[in-house]
Order: sequence, then structure tokens, then C-alpha cells
Amino acid sequence: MSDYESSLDKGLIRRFYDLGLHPGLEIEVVAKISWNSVVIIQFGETRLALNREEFACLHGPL
Amino acid sequence: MFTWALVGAPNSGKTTLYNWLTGSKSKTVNYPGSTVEYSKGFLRTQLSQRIAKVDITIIDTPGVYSLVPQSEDEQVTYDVLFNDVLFKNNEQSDRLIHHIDAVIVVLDATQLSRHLLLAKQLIQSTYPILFVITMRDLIEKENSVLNLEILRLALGSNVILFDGILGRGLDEIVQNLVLNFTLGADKKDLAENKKHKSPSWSLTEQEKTILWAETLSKKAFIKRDKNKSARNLTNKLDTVLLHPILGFVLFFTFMSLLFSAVYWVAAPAMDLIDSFFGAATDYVIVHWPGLVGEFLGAGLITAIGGVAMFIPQIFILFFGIGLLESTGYLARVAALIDKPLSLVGLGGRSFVPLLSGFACAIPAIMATRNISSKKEKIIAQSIIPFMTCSARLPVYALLIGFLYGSEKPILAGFVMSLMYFGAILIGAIAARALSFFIKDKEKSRLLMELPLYRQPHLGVIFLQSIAKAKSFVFKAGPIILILAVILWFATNFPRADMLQNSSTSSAIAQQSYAAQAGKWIEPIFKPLGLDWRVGFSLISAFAAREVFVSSLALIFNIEDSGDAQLRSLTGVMKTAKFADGSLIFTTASVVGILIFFMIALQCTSTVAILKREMGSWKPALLQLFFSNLVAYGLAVAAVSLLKNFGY
Repeated sequence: MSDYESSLDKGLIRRFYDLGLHPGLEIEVVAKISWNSVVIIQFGETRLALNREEFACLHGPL
Repeated sequence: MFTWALVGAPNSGKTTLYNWLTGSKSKTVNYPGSTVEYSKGFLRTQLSQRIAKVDITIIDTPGVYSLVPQSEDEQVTYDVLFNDVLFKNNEQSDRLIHHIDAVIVVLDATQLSRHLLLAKQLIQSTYPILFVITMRDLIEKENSVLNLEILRLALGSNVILFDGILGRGLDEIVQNLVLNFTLGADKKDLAENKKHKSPSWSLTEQEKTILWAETLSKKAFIKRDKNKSARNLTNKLDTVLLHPILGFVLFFTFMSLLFSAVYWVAAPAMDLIDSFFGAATDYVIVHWPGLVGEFLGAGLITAIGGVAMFIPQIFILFFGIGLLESTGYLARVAALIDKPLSLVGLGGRSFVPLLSGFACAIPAIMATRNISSKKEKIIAQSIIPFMTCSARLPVYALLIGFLYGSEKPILAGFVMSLMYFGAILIGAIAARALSFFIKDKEKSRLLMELPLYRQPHLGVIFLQSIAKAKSFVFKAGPIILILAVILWFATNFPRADMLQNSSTSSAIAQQSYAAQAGKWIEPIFKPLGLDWRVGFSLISAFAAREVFVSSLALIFNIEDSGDAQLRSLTGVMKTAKFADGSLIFTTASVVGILIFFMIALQCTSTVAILKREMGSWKPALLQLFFSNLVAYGLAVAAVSLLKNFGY
């Protein structure tokens, strides 16, 4: 996770961990939709839709 | 009495298992977060007598990703497990006071690694646990093999594979629970619930658990053929359905097809039902002369037929929504329209509650519980009543049928679609206005799991749609019955004196109690281009919207024209006149009624649920007042405008 996590609520970070996301995990960006405001990511068997801010928390700004 | 609670991640198959265990018909959908309230049922008699031999209560809980709740629906599950809230509100508390005796942890085989995180937390909560792994059919399709022994050893409890389609594994689940947690166990009291604690993990501990879960999942799957994985089909479909442009085009096409099909696919079945009730009315009036025959024929049968003829439309609407819900497509649409919804203060997570509003506002308002942003939640709750619920459908169908007749079903279907999209537009305007007034900077969260696409179980959706159509009839039935008695009496009496002067029904009706009272309310409806009879029907719609149709059928079926054609309500409407001979139902007045129904908040149950979810009467009553005021004002404006243009 990047420095962006410091500016985001702890609940969101906790939720990332609940979903199996953790530092160093390799994720694949599958698509950017809804005028690039939503990013679809894939890791393992899981596919998630995140908004721009949530994705930035994982990987930095789009 | 023992109690078992079903706990698991969203969309893991808890409600499917709950239905198998209890024989309930709770709605199952392929969308994360569909269950927002706990459900309670009893173990099916057949399972109870054959295996359990004791009374068992089953509780289905909303899905959770962890035992640290982050939304209202997750809080419900937390309370079931760690507080005694569930039982304090129990009406049958004397008989049912107890704690949770065992937790059935439901894990999706296709998401095993991730769902094992919750499993680990629940193990640490010290509850007696049985693990049930669902989606057996999917892993069998991809020729995967799970070693349950490895999981049993790692988790320290029994693990059973369950097939939600055929019910394979159900007996084993009940046998295990009875054997391990019921036989010989002493009943405990409510204080027992408080002994169990939700574990509190640091992020480092959580990361370690994620790695443990990944390793365990890899070990447990002793064979996995990735070429046959259900994920492959999902990936292919997503390239089309999540395409930045094509995705929108397809979504708009699906919704337009659904909304217009509600009109034109149902038309033949509606005609049949209409003919049946028409013949029944004639038969009763002819073979049962006198007041009783008049009441049964022109009163009761006409009123029931007025609503019953719309059952095919209700069925098609629920079937269409059921299809969309079961495929896994809705979560994609929620992501796809996140940006457009953000322009009116909403987000992708509002989409499914809004869509549910097309069926019924009450569960739709409850579905907003998994929206994290307070502002977004209030806006969504406020605009859901604008969505075209199934109770509006009979009204729209009647009025659109009046405007375009049965000879232009495609055009009528198009207008029906317009009504749905018009409601969305009204909702969007209201949402934008509300977002301006609600000052809350909390960022709306999307973070949504996109489930695998699944083939819809047409049989299940068919039965669920039949059940919805039945509940539509039974909900409106008692109201229609009472209304039929009141309106028939009010429009047929006083009678004795008038019979000396004239025996025509219209003469009786013009001097009836209803007509006398109608003169008082007519000024309110005159600006809408309507007389007291339609006014009465509009007022009766506040009992239930669909009652408007029955009410019109009752009030306008009192003219004895002798023309059988006029027994159809639209036929009667075409000839209904004011005292001065001008037509009541014109394009202008019908459009006015349509606009009124599109905006007005007439459903008292919706007001009650708004109060419950918003926590106060004030916003609910404000919405009731303003919606109806705006509905009336816009309807009057539209009628005046159209009249000026000669309609």
C-alpha cells in the first residue's frame, strides 16, 4: 500500500485486508470503466470494482 | 429449542442453505449484500422428524467480510452473534429465549482462500462451529477436487460440501450439528452469548492470516483445472458487458426491453383474464337478479377483475428483475454507472436498491443499509419511492391502454418504458436537489465484489415471480373487498325514494351518498380535469396504488348503457362525461393522472419504512407532504398546458 493510505479512513484499509488484499500482493487491472472513475482489479479468484480513491489507496493515483 | 446461525461472506450461499434447511422461499440473488436483515425460521419438519428429533431455529444473517462491522447490515450479524438484541425484540420471547448454540460458517468454494479469513475469526470467537462449503456444482463442473480432511484438520471442526442446486450434503449438515452440538447439550441462557467475543486483529496479524488462508486453500484443492474454471466465462462476458461504451448500450437495451416487455408480452394473457371476469360479471348479474347479484357482479367481481388482469404484468416484471439479479450482472452495472450516479450525489452501490424500487420500495429502502456514506444513503432512501413500483403498473397499463388502445401495443410498450425512464429522471432531479442541501463530506464507497456469472435457475425465478404475483393479489385483495362494499353502497344508496322516480343506475348514482360527498371534494380535482368519481379513486389509491383501478371500475361500472363493450373499463372511460356533456378522460387529464402517480408518495408502508430507516418521522412526513404537493402541482400544470394545445 502507498502513502495514500495515511489520508484514507482506517475502515477502508481494514476492509482491504478483509478482502485478502495485503502489501506486496500482485493485482491485475482488468478494466477502467465509467469514464475511468472505476477500476476493475483481479487477484486470485476475486474480481473487485473500486472507485478512483480506493484504487489510489492501493496503488497511487490513476 | 436450539438455535443455529448461518454466518458467511456476502454472496456465499447462506440464504440458499437457509431455504433448504427451513423450507423458506427467501429470495436468493447473485449479488453481494442482498440480505440486510436477519431471517428466522424453523428446521423443516421433514428434517426435524427424520434427523434432528428436536426443535431447531435457524437464523440467516447478512453477509460479513469480517467480524468488525462497517455497515448497518454487518452490524445486524454482529448483534446476532455478540449481543442479545435479536432476542429482546422477540415477540415469542417466553418460548424462544436462548442463545446461539452453533454457528454454521458458509464458505464459497470458488473464493475459499478469502473466505477462510472470516472462518479463522469465527473460530477465535469460541462458538461451536460447522463449516459448510458451497458452490459444489461449480467446482465439480471444473473437475476440481477438494480435500476436506486437510480443511478439517486445519480448522479444527467438521467441514461439509454442499450443493445449493440439488441439496446434496443437507442431511450430513443436520446430522453433524445434531450429533455435535445438540444431543446431550444443556440449554443455556442469554448471558452465554456475551461470553463469545469478536477477535480484534492488528493488520500484521491479519496479513499473516491471509497468507495462512492462501496456503491452506492451495493445499485443500488437490486438483484444479484452470482451463475449465467458471472464471473463464466470466472474464469473456466482462470484456463485453463492462466495455466502456458497449456496456452502456447493452444496459440501456436490457432495461428498455424489460420495461416495454412488461406491457406487450403480457397483453394476450391480460385480455384473457379481462374476458373471464367480464363473462363472470355478466353471468352473475343475469343469473342472480337483484341487489345481491348487482353487488357481486358490478361490485365485487368487477373490482377484483380490475386488479387481477394485471397479474401477468407483475409476473413479467418480477421475472425480468429476477433474471438480472441471478446472473451476477447487476454488480457490474453498479460499477458501470458509478460515475453518472455520482453526478446526482449517489454512487454505484445505490444502483441495486434503486432497481429493487421498481419492484417494491420497502425492501429497496432497506437495501440501502449497505451504503456506507450517510449522505448517499439518505438520498437513495428519499428517491426510491419515485421508482415505478409494481403497484403503479396497473395504473400505468390502464391509462396507457386508454391513450393508445390495444391496436398499438409496441407504441404503448414504448410509452411504458418512457414512464420508467421518466421516474428515473424525476429521481435524478430530486437526488441532485437533495445533494445540494445535505452537507456531508464523507466519501461514498464503491469497493464491490464482482461475482462469477451464473446461469439463472429459471424454475426458481418462475416460482419466486409467481409468489410475488400472488402476494400482489393477496395484499390488495382485502382492501379491494372493503372498498367494493363501501363504494358499491355509497354509489347505490339512498335508493328507495329514487326508485319511484327512476330505476336507472345512473340516476341512482347521481343522487347517491358518494355523489353528495363528491361535490365537496370535486373542487380539488377540477384543476386536474377530473370529476369527483376519479377524485374518489385517487383518494382510494392512498390505501394501495393499484386500488385506483378497482375503484374506477366500481364507480364507472354503474352506467347501464346496455352495450357489452362498455363493460371494459377503458370503454367506459371513453364515454364518461361531466354534467355539461364534456369528456372526463381526455389526453390532458390522463397525462395529469400519470404524472400524479409518477411523483406522488401514496404508500403508507413506504412512509413507515422511511421513518424506521431514517430514524425520525420528520423526514418521512416531509417527503410525504412535498412529493404529493409537487405531484399535484406538476399534474395541474401539465393538464393546463395540454388543454391549451387542444388535448
